[in-house]
Amino acid sequence: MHEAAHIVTRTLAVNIPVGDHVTRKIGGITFNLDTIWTTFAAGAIVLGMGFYLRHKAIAGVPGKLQIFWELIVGWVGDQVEQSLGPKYRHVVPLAVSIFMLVLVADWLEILPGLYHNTDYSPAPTADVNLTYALGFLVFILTNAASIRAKGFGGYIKYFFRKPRVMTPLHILEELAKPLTLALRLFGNLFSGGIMIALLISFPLKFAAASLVFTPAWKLFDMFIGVIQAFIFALLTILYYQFAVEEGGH
Amino acid sequence: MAATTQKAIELAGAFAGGGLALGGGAIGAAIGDGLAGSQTIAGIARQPEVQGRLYTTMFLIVGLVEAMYFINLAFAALFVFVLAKG
Repeated sequence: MHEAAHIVTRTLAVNIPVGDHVTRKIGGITFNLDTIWTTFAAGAIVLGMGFYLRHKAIAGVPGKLQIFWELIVGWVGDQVEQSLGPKYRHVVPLAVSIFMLVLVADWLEILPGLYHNTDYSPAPTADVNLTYALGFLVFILTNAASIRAKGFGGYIKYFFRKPRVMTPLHILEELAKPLTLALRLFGNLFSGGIMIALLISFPLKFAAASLVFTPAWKLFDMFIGVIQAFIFALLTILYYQFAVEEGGH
Repeated sequence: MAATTQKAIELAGAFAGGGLALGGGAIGAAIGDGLAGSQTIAGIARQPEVQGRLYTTMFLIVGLVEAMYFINLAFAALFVFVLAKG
């Protein structure tokens, strides 16, 4: 009992850096540089994998990376075929890119690196800015596809569909979609980082407990990263489907 | 003296609020996961051959439900580490 209180007080005495970023002010706007360069790193990794696979793709026995990539493209293709039909095959590259970017960005958390209370290689999705940007992108794209499919009049009329009194709720639902997409991804990855910081700041007497729990939590965090990437991609496809489906309402 | 009292009240409020957020989130997430899992088990018991598709849907629902919990966790961390510190 006394040891538990000891852990808590000693841990709280440590300054856990929450939301600390390497920042630079340019023209009055603060940029989180560590998020920016880790996002570029994740993008470069995904593009590198893509170009490498295109160069080395063989019709014989495929390598492991090719199997993995084909699994993802196959799943996304099936999902788009099932929800949207063959006319919207251009959604497949978008969904695959989102999946791979979020996956690599989540898994960047596995690189250790704490330097003077800021992390030089955090998971970029643990910063609200990236997740808001991704959510906003999906919002713009799905609404643009909806306008293109139904015409501007049809798009507006969709908000005023039959239970007329529920119109403010329909508008709110449309705004809640990118917000929940962003906050879901952010919350999952951010709390993963906080838990790691908490676990490694146990006092030395409890190092054994910390050594057992930290890798276990880390593995769970990797798994959560995969699930969140999967959900983000799947919800992108589903929001596309909701945006372009023709009536029935 | 008034400053430390105020700080103490702020800290106590932050911890209590964070604890409530975590507790409510954990209950909701556990119930949601349990419901999803129970329906998956019932579906597999009825039709064993759709096991793959049911697993996929179950993981999707678990991810969505856990999201609520993790958003709560992020806010609890906000209360305890950011708002009640300076």
